[in-house]
Amino acid sequence: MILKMMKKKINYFEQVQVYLADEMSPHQREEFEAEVAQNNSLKRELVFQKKVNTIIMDDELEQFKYELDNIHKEVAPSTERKRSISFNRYTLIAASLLLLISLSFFLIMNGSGSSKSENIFTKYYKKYAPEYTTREYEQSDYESKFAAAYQNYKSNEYGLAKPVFESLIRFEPKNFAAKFYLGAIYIELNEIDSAIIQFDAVIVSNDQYYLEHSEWYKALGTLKLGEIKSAIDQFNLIANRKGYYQTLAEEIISELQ
Amino acid sequence: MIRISEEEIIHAFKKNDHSFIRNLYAIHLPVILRYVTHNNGEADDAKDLIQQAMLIVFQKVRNNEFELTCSFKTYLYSICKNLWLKELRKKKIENTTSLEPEEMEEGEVIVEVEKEYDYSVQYFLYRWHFHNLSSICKDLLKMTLAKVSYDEIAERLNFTDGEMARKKKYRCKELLIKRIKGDPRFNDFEDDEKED
Repeated sequence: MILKMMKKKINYFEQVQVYLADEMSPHQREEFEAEVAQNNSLKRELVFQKKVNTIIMDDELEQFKYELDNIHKEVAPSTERKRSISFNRYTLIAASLLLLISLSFFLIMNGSGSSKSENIFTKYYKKYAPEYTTREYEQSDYESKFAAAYQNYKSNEYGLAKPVFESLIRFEPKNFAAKFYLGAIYIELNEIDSAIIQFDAVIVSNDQYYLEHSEWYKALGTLKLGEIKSAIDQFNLIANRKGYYQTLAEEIISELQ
Repeated sequence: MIRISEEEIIHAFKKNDHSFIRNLYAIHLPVILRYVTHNNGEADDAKDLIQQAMLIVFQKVRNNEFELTCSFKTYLYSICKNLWLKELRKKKIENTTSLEPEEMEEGEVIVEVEKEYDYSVQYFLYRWHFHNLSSICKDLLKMTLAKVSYDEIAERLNFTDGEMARKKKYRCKELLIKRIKGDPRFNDFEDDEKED
């Protein structure tokens, strides 16, 4: 049943893609539009993907925001403080983008670039597995499940640890510790895209404990994917934060450059 | 103070008149700053607030929906007040102090900001994920949306052929969609999408 639903969802994605790319025959198009008229999920997917396309092509708002940030620096330099709200993160990314955007069509990654990034990843990646002191008594159900999942994670028993972390997240969607470790498992399993989704969730939440680690492992994951420019942006953010991973991030940036 | 007309605002925002926009920002920031810091906020909140308000004005001008029936000052402060109340509600902070930004001699006006505000929030979320894609993915998606043919894309981006470019484009788009939908903030928009 679930498999059937998942399949249907994937098909929606593909159908909408093909429709928006104008790659359907007139007959398929007609059928698709008729289906959209009566299928709310499909209609929602269509509206969403149209919006994504619009936003991809809309550089103006970001440029204006970039300009506002510059104006702010000019008129209120004393109020500029380091802060961790996501809006600022966007600004930094936007600023980096604007510096890089004109070069992006010409600087295309090649094979040697991706093997270099792979080497740097291997050099700097270390599984996150600190020693936790756990109380042997008075553990809540959550604590004991988490501790057991963590032990399995630590002993590389990812098949055992993964479903427990997933169930803890289902039970408590704001369980950022479980999200972080789920991301860490995905990295170990070389499912980098899935890992990045989990780290993003932690980064957005601004979770005090796991934020820095998530940024670090996300940047390493991005590097592993061979997305060098994006990885450099992320390592720059980490270096500027002047936290635990500052030196390592600076080393990686200089190696990449 | 000289009253700025609707035409002047439209002209400045459309032409991206830096010094005009800078002056507007410099004049109004101190008032917004005092307002926010007296109402459970900090300097950085004031920065976000005035920038969100300016982004709303920018969108209204761009969409030819900007209409000024009061002074620009009153218009801007009304937007800021509206957005700040929204923020306080989100943070579940009960406001006990005055919420009138000073110098609103004309009283408050109602400015509809929902559409622009929602777009702006979605915009920066989607763009964040877009920028986190590889350069090739970003170029590929932009080119296909700009209706560049797959063959030409293949040539420009060194793919073996157009079909390879087409496949790669689908992968990139899928990755982007996956990351956006996996973002916990995405669920906040779900209801809006249903209404669209």
